[in-house]
Amino acid sequence: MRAPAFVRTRRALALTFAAIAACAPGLARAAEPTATVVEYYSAKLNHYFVTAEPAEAAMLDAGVVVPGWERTGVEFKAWANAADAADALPVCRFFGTPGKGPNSHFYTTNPDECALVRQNPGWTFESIAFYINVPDAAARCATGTPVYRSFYPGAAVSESNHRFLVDLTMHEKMAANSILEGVVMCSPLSAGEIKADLTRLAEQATFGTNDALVIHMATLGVAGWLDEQFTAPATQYAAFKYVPAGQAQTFCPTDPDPDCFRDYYTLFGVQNEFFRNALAGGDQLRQRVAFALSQIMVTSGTEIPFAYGMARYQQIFLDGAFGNFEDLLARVTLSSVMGDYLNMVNNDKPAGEVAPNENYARELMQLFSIGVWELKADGTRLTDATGAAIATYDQDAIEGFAHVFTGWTYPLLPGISQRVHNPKNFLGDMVAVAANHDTAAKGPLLDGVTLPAAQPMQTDLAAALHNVFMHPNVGPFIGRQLIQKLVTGDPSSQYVARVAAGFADNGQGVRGDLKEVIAAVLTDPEARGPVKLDPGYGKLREPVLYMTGLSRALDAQSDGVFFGQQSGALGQPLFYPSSVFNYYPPTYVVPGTTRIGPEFAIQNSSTAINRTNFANTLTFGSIGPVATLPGAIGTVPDWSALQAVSVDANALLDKLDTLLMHGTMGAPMRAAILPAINAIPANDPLGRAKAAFYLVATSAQFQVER
Amino acid sequence: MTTPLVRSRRAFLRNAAALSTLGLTSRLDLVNLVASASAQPAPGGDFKALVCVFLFGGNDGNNTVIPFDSAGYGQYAAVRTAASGIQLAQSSLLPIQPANTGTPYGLHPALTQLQTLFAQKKLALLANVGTLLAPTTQAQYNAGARPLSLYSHSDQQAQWQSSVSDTAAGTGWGGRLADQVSAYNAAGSFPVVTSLDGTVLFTAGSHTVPLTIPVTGSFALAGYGGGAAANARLAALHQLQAQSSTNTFVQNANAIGTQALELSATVNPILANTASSIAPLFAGLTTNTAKQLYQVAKMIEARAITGAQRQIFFVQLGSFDTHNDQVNRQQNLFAELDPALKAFYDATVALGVASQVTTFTLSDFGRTLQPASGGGTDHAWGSHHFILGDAVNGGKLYGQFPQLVLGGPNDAENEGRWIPTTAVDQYGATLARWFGVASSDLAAVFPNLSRFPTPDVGFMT
Repeated sequence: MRAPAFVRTRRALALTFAAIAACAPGLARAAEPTATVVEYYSAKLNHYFVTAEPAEAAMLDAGVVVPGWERTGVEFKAWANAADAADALPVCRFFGTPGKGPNSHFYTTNPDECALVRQNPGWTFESIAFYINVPDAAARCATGTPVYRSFYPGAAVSESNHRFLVDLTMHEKMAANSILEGVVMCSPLSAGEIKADLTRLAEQATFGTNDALVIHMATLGVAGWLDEQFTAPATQYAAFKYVPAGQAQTFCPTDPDPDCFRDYYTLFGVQNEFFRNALAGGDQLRQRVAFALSQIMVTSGTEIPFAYGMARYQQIFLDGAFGNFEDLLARVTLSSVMGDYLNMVNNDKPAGEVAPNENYARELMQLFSIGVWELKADGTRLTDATGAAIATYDQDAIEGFAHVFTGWTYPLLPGISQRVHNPKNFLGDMVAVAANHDTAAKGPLLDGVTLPAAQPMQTDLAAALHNVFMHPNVGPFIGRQLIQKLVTGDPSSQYVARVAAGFADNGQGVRGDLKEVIAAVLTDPEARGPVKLDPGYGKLREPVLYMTGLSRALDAQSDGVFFGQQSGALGQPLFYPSSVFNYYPPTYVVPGTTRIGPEFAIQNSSTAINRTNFANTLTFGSIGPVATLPGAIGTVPDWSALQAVSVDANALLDKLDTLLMHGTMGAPMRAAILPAINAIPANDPLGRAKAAFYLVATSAQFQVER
Repeated sequence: MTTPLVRSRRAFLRNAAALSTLGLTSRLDLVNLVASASAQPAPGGDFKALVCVFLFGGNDGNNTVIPFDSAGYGQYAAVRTAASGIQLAQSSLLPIQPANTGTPYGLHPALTQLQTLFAQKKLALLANVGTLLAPTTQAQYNAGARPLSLYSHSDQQAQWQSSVSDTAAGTGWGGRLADQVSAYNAAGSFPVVTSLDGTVLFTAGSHTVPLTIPVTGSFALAGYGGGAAANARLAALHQLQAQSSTNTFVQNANAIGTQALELSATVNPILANTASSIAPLFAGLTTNTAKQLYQVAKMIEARAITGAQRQIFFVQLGSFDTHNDQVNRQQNLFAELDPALKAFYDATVALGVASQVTTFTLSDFGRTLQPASGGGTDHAWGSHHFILGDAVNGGKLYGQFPQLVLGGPNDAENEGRWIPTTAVDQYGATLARWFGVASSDLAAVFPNLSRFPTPDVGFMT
């Protein structure tokens, strides 16, 4: 099991950022890397090659003297001279001696290995390729980012080749035909790369990046910023007024609020508050994780359209985002909103032909905790001796849990005496009615566990939830979805395994510590790094994050109304998913590919047009306040920062590249946008800023976060 | 990276106007397109459409079609007792007498229009159809022969939509059907599948991509009122969409966006047409289902504009997961479905295509005959479905109606979870053959069809 080593790696990484920030406040850095190592690939030879020599790179780019080599896009930083960095070592570059060694290059920082290979007639020493730092004995980088080496053996010696990558996702995929040799160098990061990575972290961990946030993150470093976020007090939803269920027609005429129905019998106010908090709240990571969890343990305004109820339900995730997963399961299970949504509330013990309701039992397991197939620790499926997947539970287990979940009813309304079925309300958790609880023995639950007869119903419930919580699937099942929600839609099994290891043990022997899980997701080498080139990396920004990301980049002031209205048109009607299966499933395969891209389940010709039109309204429209909403301000972007640089089209593109795309805009994209900026005269700096912003916002290059 | 999605997107560019606007498609792509088109069966001169209405959540077939003879109803009422809260009184049922059964049946009381359409032989019933690996007996079920993740919403939805129950399929039978007939639409280069519910599995083909149109609201790109600046911006938008990427997600997002932009100019005026001749038929119907079917009717009405000769539409109605309060919930759902289907059928009559448009229902699964606490039912398996249109051999009940006995000969478990006696594969293949797929090509759409005794259940003319 390699997971522990990688956990150490990520902690070291976090320390690295902290160290950088500590010795160089802000984004300044004492020494910028002086060399860029560029990777080339020859399809003819199936070999990779790197060079830090600009003249050699230009020669290969020209393709005349040595044809057939193409840039792969992979680059990493190094040092051009020994004097550029105190601890850097020279990298000896060898070429296989024709007729004797491989038809490829070899690079090593190890002085002993360099000396040894120099003696080997199969290799010819060419030069010191560049200088670079090296990992310690435990393969950790004290500074910089790890460079991983893989070895492709080939059918013959002449075909063998090494590849050097800073992108761990790409490195892991080399295992298909190569031997992974681990960390061999530590590449220094430029100030621009550090900023780009912090911007990526802000995209993954908040509702959108902006200049002030990245500067703040740079001051604290990754670990420091995470600590700040872990301890930031949770945003609190307002206590929306209690209204009686199903009685809007009689209640609202008696209420002083002329928009009583909208304000209390729909989730209008909860949506608005969500977006206001997402745009301006200080507990960004907590809110972001809460939003992710709320899409795993789903309830919906289609069934519970009461603002006071849904606000309380969503608060569970804000409060529990960094707590223990077992506690979260208990909070959700006992929530009267979930009880109502999945029919655990008023679930009677068996009576005549009527059986206990199976709904919560099934979805608790299928969606909230373990899924339908037994998993390995890396999230891939276990198989039996015939190679078939193994179901995690059968119908008997569902019926066992269904019997456990009997006897709970709505909380007691003030002034009403306790009944077996209390009147519908969501003013607190469900309450126990022992007389309505099945007292027979229950099970088998999971792993053959049975519960003895005549236990107190609270004991039954805790034991059943513990039975679920201890199932080995929970870490990879939940961890994988949190990776998908925060970082990338189709994560590698290695990434899942590292996060699941954090779920299994937070380092202090505690299982299910979500703080540890979130830290594992966000500090993993597959999450961090300035640029990600793997073709399957990243995710389509889900509509809510698409909207908040653009708005936060513009420092928009908003009452939230516009976003709630637009969320449905974009395919993600906030807090109104069509079923417990959320707005989209975590398993959705992008049609025509083998890639999992959950958000693509709601990306189609209709929602694609609506996304573009959202960007149009945000950019060019005027989003005024709703007259009937007290204190409404509409949504007002601040264009000053973009307008200030827009006279110079290239400066404007630089700014947008840094702000929205962490430096990945690329020459073709810039070339496409440039004429649209220049079609607007320099005396209209606002118009130029808006045109460029709109085009970045509507581009797939931006909409896919990676 | 050339994904099927991208190839399909380029298919839209065959339109000369689109080509001149964008100027992006290489000659090589056109050559490939012509080559793939010529491999298709020769287009016919007719028009046909299939309209799938998916009842998400798992409709309770046991309260949709109920035996009306005293013995049959007695079996029903013995399990769904009056005390259970989910019994439909015999007197409330809408009687139908299938021409091919000895005994009468009763429809759910909200299905008044369907009762009439059944009597008019425009509507057929298919009993106890569901997902199957192969024909399955109780003994085989008990020995483990069953679809993957039976009784799970997401898995059973996927299997109903893919027709494949022994592996996770990447395409749906609507999409594969579209693959087979896509040559019919070559003249207009219009997608075969139009979805009102996004790219669900049913709609995903191997080399065809569905169009998704909105249920309400505009399908037009906003913000382009003309002028040099706006035109330059629009050109940049198109250019950005056409830029290839090594990232799969970027590539696919671009393909979807490109399709949207290219088709919005054609489709938006069709959807925005308030003077449609069939508008009065939908007047007063405000439900989401009626709105979806109205959009479908408008697209069919405009078939000369789109050039489509084969179309598959996907429409959905949700909330059939009636674990509690089933009587009220199903009543409300059918009260939405029934008039919407009637209005849509009437629209096809008005458009003169009633014999060329066939509407049919699918759903996750049926529900337990045994009641569950809360006045509801739990997830089960086989269920009953409707097929509507003038090409339907209507007024009959196809398949085998299950014995409504807990633990009886049709029960997979002990709660009334019917082992299907007709497979989704057969249901779909019957429709596909009518749609124009040759017998020899049915296996390409329904890969497991040969496991079942007949590929044609007989409900289509």
